[in-house]
Amino acid sequence: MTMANTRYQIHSAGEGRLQRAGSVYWPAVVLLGSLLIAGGAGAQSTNAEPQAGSLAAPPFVEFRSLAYGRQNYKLIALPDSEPTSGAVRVHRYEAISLTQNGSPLITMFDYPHGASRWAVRLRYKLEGYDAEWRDSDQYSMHLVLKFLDQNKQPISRAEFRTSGRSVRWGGDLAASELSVRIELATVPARAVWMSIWIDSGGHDETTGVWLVDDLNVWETSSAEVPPKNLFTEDFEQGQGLDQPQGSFLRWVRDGGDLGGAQVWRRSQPAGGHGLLILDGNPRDYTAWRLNDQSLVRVVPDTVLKLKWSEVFSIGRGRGGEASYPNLPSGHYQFRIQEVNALGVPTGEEAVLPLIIAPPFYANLWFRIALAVFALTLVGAAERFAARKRMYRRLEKLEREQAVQKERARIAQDIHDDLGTVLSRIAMVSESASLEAEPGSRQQQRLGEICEASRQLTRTMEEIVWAQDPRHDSLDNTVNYFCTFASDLLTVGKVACRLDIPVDLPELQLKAEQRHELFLVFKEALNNVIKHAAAAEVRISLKLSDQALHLVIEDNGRGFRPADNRSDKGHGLINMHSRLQRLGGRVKVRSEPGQGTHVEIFLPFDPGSEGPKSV
Amino acid sequence: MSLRISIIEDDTALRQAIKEWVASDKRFQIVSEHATAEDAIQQLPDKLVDVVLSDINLPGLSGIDCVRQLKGRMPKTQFLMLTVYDDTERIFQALAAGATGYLVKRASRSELLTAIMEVYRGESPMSSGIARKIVKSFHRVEPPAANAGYTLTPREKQVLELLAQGHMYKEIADMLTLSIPTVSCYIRSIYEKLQVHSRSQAVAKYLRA
Repeated sequence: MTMANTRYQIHSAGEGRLQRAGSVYWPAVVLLGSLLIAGGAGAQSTNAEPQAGSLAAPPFVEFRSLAYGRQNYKLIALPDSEPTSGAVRVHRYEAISLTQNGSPLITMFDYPHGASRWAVRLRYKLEGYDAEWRDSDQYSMHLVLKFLDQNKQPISRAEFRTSGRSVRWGGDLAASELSVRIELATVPARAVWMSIWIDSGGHDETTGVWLVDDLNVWETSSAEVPPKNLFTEDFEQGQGLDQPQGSFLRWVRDGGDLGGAQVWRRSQPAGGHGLLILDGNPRDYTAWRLNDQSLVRVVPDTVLKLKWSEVFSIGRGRGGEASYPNLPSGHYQFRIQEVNALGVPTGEEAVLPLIIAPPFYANLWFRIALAVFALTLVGAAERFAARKRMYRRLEKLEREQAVQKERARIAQDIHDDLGTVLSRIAMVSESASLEAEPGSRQQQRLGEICEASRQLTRTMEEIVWAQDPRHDSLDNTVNYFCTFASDLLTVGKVACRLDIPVDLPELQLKAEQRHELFLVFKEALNNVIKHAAAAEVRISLKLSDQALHLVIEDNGRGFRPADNRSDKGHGLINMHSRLQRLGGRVKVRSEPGQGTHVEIFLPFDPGSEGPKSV
Repeated sequence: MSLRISIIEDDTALRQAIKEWVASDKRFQIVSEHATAEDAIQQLPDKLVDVVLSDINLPGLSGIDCVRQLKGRMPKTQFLMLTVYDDTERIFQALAAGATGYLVKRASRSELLTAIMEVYRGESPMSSGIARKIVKSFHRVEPPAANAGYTLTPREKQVLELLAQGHMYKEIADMLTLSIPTVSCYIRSIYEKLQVHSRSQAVAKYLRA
């Protein structure tokens, strides 16, 4: 509907540009711009002269809302400043900062509530993303076939929509080329007549320009019958075709705003005319239709083929919604602009700067923080593991300690009870044997009991000594060896030389190690006493980081090492196998008449990191 | 005059056997017998005793504690420790506490009687293991200046080192051109100094703590 009290106009700047662009064309096209604006308002319009271009005037385009993800952003218009170039008024907004999260960005824009006039056509562009200005393609213009019955009452319609820009739109009509369009429609039952409408849409807000030329309609009933031409229109018949307001022979103007239905004239030298819909009125529509005398006769159920040439650029006068599904991070400027029906800027523009920051996880600092965090986490995990290892080691130590305690208890019990009882047997039996008749069988047997119990005490002593963890130190072991050696050798009347460092490192030997080592040591000394007939035994001890070297050498008669069937041989095999169990070895060197050299090698901790510190 | 002997031993049968052995020899007479260290500490200081035979491993206070408490009050009395096993560590502790000899319980009657006589005469036995421990003990901490007189003399050191090397008394006597009793005398002296040394070590430890 035409609003009588509203006027539409094109800015002087816009007009200027239109003039320049259309300089090679028929001046009517230029005129047309003014006309359509004025015409859009209708001749009746009188009041409310707009003040576009003046600084005092309120903005004419505005951003209404911005939504990103679930968040709606408040948009704040900055105070308008002096126009910077020409007469273009740019209304700026405070920049909006977003963090990229993959959501669609949706902006609503419009002309302001209570504006002095309605926008002719608003288009938008996201600078930094869009290469071209964009029109809303939600609204369209139509070429409509209206089917009527024999009484010329409407039955149904076939509608062909046109929206956006034609492929060869070049910015304005002068720079554009026509393209051919072909459509099909089926004639409904009962249809007898057909009318053709070319209009600026079901929505009054649709604005823009649509040029149609060379419209043909054919009827195809079956594959055998060649198409029959029903209608041909080259828009060359009519009156006053040199004027936009001229009229075509078979067409009449319709719609609420008749001024937008115009005659178009091609520039020289080609000449020729076309049908033009130039809608600069966002509150009404305009149309050309076949007049009642020119209706086309149709046959139901036949298929109609339509073909026409066209060029168009269609937008909307109201604001709209711009949606960007997944913007990358970056700096953008969202611009909306008012243009006239032909797409020429009027000089009103609004700009909303947009800064989309990379998502937090793409941020360098975040990545550094993340790396630091990850490192910290790894460190913490490592510390946790270390602590766990420590606990495990502690547990192991505690277990070992418990075992040692148990060993000590057993040793103590054997020491106290068994040892005492055995000593008692020895003493009592000796007492008894002293009381017995000298030389008697009884005295002899009591002596045997006494000796047996003493021997048992000695053996027990060795076992208890080895088992008692209080004797785990190397120092204690060496002292025990020394005492044992000097006692045994004194009895055997063999001189004993000890070459052993006084200050020994604080090392621990396991019970097994001490016991086996002692048995080997004892075996070696016993061999000396039994077989060597030596005057002197030299015992020396050397320590390295990982092992103990114990050498027992005598100056006795020696033997052939190959002679291993003897007792000595057995003894040596025994010594070997004992030390092998501990990861050690024994080396025996001997020559008849050259004495014997026994070297015992014992690693402190076989297969491990060396001596254990206490 | 026979030697006055006391026995501290908790095992009745053993005590009885030792008593019989000692009593059967005219050189000795039994003065008292005790089943515990506590009993001995209470009764012994009032008695004249030449040699105390004491078990190291007693219930309650040990033989070592017993010697430590009695030696100060009975300086002329010699303490001979009896032990089931040849446990260098405990024997050393007993020697440091004031004992001058030791014997394993499996010893025969004659060995026991000989040992009593030797201890009484000041001929203390010293095994190479014990000698090593004593050497080490004197190595470890220099005694405080007040006890300078109780450090080992060079000769004593020599004897001790030779003992630690496994030499017998006779060999040492030969090597140092000394008589065997003199070597024994050195050893007794070493034992006495060890006691003082141990005490001063304990004091030094106490002062440091």
